[in-house]
Amino acid sequence: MTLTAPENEKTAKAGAATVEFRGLRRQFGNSVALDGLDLTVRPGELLALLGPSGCGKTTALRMLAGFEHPDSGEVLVDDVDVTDVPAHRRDAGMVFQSYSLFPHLSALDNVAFGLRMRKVGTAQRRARAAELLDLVGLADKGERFPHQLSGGQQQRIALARALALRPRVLLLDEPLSALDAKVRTTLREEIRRLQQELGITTLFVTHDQEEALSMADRVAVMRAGRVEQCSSPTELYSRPATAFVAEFVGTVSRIPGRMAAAEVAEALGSRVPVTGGAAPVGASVDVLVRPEAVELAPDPQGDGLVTSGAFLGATTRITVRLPEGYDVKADVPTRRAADFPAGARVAVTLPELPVVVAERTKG
Amino acid sequence: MTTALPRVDVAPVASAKRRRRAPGWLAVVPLLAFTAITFGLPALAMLNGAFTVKDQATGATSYSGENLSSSLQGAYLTALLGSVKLSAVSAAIATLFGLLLAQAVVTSRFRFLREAVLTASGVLANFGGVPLAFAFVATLGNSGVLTGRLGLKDAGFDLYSFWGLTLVYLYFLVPLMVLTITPALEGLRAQWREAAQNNGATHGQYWRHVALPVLTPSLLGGFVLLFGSAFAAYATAAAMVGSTVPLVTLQIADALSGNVLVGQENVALALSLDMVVVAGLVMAVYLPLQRRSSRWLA
Amino acid sequence: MARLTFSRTRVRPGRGLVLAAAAVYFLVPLAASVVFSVDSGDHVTFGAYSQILGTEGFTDSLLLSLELAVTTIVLVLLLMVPAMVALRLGASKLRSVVAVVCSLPLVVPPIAFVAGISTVLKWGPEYLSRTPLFQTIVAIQNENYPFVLVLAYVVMALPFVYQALDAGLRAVDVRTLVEAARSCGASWPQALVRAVLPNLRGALLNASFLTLALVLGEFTVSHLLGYQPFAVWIVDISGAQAQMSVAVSVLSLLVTWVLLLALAAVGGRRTPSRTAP
Repeated sequence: MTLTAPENEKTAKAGAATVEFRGLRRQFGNSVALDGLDLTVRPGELLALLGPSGCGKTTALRMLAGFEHPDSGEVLVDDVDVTDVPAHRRDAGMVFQSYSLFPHLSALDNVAFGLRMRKVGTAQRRARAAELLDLVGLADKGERFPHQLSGGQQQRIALARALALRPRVLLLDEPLSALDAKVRTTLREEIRRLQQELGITTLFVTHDQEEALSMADRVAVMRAGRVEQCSSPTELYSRPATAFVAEFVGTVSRIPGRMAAAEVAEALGSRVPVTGGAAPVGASVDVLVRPEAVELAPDPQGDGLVTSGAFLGATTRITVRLPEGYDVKADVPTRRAADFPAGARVAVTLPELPVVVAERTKG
Repeated sequence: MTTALPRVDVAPVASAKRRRRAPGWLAVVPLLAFTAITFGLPALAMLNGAFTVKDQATGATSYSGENLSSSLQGAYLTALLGSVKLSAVSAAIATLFGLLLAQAVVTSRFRFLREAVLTASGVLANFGGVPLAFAFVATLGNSGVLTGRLGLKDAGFDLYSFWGLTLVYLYFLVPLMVLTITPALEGLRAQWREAAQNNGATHGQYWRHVALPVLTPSLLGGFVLLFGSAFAAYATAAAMVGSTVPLVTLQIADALSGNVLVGQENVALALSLDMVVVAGLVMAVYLPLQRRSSRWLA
Repeated sequence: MARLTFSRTRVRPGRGLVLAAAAVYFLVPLAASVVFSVDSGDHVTFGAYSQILGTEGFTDSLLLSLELAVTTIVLVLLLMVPAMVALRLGASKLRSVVAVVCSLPLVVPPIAFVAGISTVLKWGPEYLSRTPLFQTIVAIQNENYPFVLVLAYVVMALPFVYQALDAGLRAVDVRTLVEAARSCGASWPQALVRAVLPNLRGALLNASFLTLALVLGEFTVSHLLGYQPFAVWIVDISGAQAQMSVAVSVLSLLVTWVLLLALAAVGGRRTPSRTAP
């Protein structure tokens, strides 16, 4: 079941829309959902909005769909302000988290719903809906009702329905979060392939970092109603701009260190370049390192004490307790894991890779 | 000491075995036995009596369909049709108004209003009957508070007429509808409205193409439930002495207590059987609808 | 997050109109009843209310109704709770049987039911006068405590009690509760009383209240069998004391309402079933 787009579905990349959020603010009672959000989605790209729950990512998406209105700020599609356009006249197809299919309509009628609202003739409507069902690989399920379909199939139908009116923007609101792990993986690959073939500008909300990193062209990490960092998945992982991003995306350990010079930190006897987070020279800081960027060597005189190991497949993640009371995680190839039994003394060193620093949290 | 120990050990094992063997249906037996006697016996008696004819002269009894056929003739038929008409009309009005009221309450931002209306509906729907009839007699009856003050009599209004009784019935049917339809309205997912809008539907189109079709089983189910409730109602009509509306429940009561003619008890049983058939039809329509709507709105 | 969907405050005239119409329709008869019960030609009098207690039959009929209600609640719960819990734990074949049995009373209107009951009661003198069953039939028709009404009310309450208990049992995983209690060393009865019943508190209260309301307001069966509990008494005095019958009606509606509100406060309101997006 591969999702492939026929020629007539493809929008030339040049024709894809640009979306821009400008200074969006929205408050619900006392809680601020959006606190001056600025973000541009480039034509034809898939941009993931990633963040913990309550960070405002869904609110931003719903503002583009027209379900929420900003207290101030504006939403632009191709430089046209759409802030006051009602939801049913926005040119944006949306896929919801779950249960959004109309229960009284068959899969085909669900997909054809928008065309019916536009008073498109029955024959044309059915032909177009059949085309879309074919696109999502469910051509044979058109007569089924939502309750007769699996969760994954329901979301495919919802995707077909969202694309039926040839929208300029596709909005995905955690469409995979209600599915089980296996279906989630296949469906996200297929959504990505379809999106690339259609060349449609897509905004994708998720709280699952793996999903965001594996699907998106760019990922915008949100926190408390603002964008913390917006860049490609690789850059986000290897050069996080802030401690929040570093700790939210992937695993990091904190190691006590000191700012040795401007943009140079010293920890565990090594001097490493600092790319994110700033502190005055001489200040005590926490240095944030990824487990694959920590090196271990068996050393009876070493500072570190191995407390546990977790087998991850090719690598094993060793937890080492430092004298200051910090726990550091380090990945070692599994074939070497036997060198680091619990209770063993080890030497911990840092290779010269860029790191992020944060304010000291302990002692 | 030592001799006592093994016994203590053995006892729980044995009793656990016995308990495991005691099947679950044993707990259900008292319930089924009770209903078989208190419900099954009267039901059989009704069925038997409805088909039994007693010769007044000889006292001999025989089976025939005579009671049933006379229960479907003359004044009895008029009463049966009167009941059906009153129930259908008042249930239809209550369905419409109950839907509007429930929607107004469900979408209200005031939690208190919601709670107050739902609890009040619970009281009025279950407790109607006698107090309800007196409240209306006091308000719109011959010497009612509003009758004289608003000159309703001259305007041609009569509480004891068909429409008067409809007005009274609505007082417990509307709350019953509110209780029935509220879960369905709460089951309408926000995503459906948003998905419809997202597909270009206006507010009106959403109601016409999504909300009402999804609610249809619940609305029809609610209607038949209301119909059944109005059809079975006796206390309200009986307490409003002087009503001129022929109703099957009043006929049964009269025949049972021998008010009209002696020896009509078996016709009363036949009329009861007619009612059971109508109510059975109502349930036969209601249950499948209920099942469908709970599948959609679960 | 997506839950916070207050759309911009819109004026919705349709809704206001519906609420106003409902308020008029439901409140005017109540208000008018109060006026009626205190209106004595040209001045206001609360005689109808102050005399209620002293009026003949009031205490007797109310007490009778309450006694009947308590017995009915105890009996219906004793029959239903073990059966429903057992059905949850197993014996699933009987589940649909019980569901049908408990909804049958909805198909037989009270007036038809009482027609059947009075026929059965007549068998006593006609056919059974020489058997011990006759004594039973006479005993349950005792004027001071007509147990036959309890039997009828239990049957009439079955659908409501079934609904309430079924909803309550749906919300808890009885099997796991019992197994957890058993693995902690509780005996079967202990597991039921200590683990299952406390979790059904809301459902039990709900079932009890519905039954109480049913018995207190019941008119058809008791009237046609010739007894005089509360509802029948109100109708019986209405001819001679119209004001008082209205006063009692208003009071009984208000008391029931207050009871229900109290129950809602004690039992905790049902949780909204909507799933958050």
